[in-house]
Amino acid sequence: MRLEEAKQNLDLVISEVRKIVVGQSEMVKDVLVAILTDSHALLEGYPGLAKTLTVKTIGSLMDLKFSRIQNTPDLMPSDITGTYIVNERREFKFQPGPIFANIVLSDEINRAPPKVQSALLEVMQERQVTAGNTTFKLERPFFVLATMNPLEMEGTFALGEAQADRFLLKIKAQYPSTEEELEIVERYAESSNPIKLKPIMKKETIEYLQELTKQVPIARDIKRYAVDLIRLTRTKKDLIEYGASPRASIGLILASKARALMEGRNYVSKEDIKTMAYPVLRHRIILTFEAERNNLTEDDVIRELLK
Amino acid sequence: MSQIIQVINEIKKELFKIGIFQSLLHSIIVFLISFIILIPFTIKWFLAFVPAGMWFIGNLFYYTKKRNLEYVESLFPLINEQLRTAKDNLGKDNEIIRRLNQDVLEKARRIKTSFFINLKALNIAVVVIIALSFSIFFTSYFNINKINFKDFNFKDPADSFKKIISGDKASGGSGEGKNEDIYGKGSVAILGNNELNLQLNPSGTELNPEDLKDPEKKNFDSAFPQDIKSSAEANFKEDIPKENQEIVKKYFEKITGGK
Repeated sequence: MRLEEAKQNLDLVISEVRKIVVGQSEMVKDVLVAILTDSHALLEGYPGLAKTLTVKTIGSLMDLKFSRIQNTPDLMPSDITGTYIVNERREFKFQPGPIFANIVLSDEINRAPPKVQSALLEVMQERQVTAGNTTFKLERPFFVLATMNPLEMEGTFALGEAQADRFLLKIKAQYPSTEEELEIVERYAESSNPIKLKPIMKKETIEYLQELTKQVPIARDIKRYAVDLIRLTRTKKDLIEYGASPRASIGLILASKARALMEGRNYVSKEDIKTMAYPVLRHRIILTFEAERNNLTEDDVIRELLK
Repeated sequence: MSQIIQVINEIKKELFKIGIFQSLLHSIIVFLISFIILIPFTIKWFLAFVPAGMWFIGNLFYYTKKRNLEYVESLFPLINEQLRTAKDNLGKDNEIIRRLNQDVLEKARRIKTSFFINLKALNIAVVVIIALSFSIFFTSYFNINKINFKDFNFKDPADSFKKIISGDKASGGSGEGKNEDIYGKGSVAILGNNELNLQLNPSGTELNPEDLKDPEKKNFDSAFPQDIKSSAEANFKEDIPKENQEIVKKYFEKITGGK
């Protein structure tokens, strides 16, 4: 597959998603970036901004095994990883949980208790499940696309910084524009024919695109620019209390490569770094009290760093 | 891959050539300015080469350092970031890098040397050189090669400059030593009611001591030529009446102190 064909494939996925999801083009692109980099993404936004719908739609377009975990406070780790059950012949048999899929939608991850979050994050990192004395490898590709609602705090368990660091991107769902909202109303309140999508991207294609993403070359000074940006989060003490780790540097370069591939470019541009800095860094920095007192958000601080 | 190296080397070579040309042009300006500054202080003119040379080396170093591939890309947005990426990934080989190299080679063909030359800056430099050359020409024409700051009247600078330009109190440019009064005093030059306006061409009065030779000995003939004869004065023998001749004779003898 050539570069143009790769772009065509990705454009096709985006156009298919648009048949279901109105607007949220940046969110859709960022989810695809996570898929191309073989990483996980955390989608944050107010209820009703098509977070779950986007992930479900992308999942249905991929010819991959898709599963959904609806997180609740009473969920147990074995509910997602799987457990040994006794079968009819009175033998212990491992019953895989919903985590045994290629694309896992972990809805409202902050509602899951810390034990479940910890189990999920371990699986995300190691890409394997250990039950009893047996370790089960997960099938590749494996993505966890988690959604989170920033509004409700009661009955939720906030993700720790170390846990959030497992996600390559923290994607923010934005409110749609007036035109987009009108289209949403027309499509879902006035039409009764739900659009059905067919898988258009095979497992091999995804794996090949992931390989192609890693091959996108980057100039040394642009690489340095990315690393300097990450290092700046550790030295900007007036705004950031805790900066990003070297994992963020790797993530930023990888995400920029994926972005370049999606744009059909055969090189990483400085603009890619700037664009991807927001989803890569916003969950990896902890603002100082002074910055929060000034009503600055993570995005404001990242914007300041990019100046 | 080797083609990319070749293209990058060619671009660097062209940039270096332009760097030399630009540095040379700027050095000429520095030389001319230094020359103009040195003339009034009667400092050896060839010392103007020192700042010019230093400028040339410094400028060339700065130019070579600043004019890198990023600069080339800024001039050609078409290959922005691609040229650097291709250069930094020379050792690697994959499908995308091969495609990138191909793109860079195609676009690099459109790069011409003339694009690197800043025509505006070049024009300004040429105009400055011409202006400085003319100022040196006029400085020579008005013979301003030494300003005596002791005699400079700061209360009336216009008059002092006028004197400098007119040559008053300035050296005449001929010979060495004190020659401030070569034109003499103005009062001496006044004849009656008419002022004698003397103008000496300094170049015409140049004397080269090396051209001076010892006086040659000449032998003259002792005999006068035939056509030259001596004749006696006979004024008193002119038409004087005879009765008065004796009186005239005595008169002349008296005034000449004769016997």
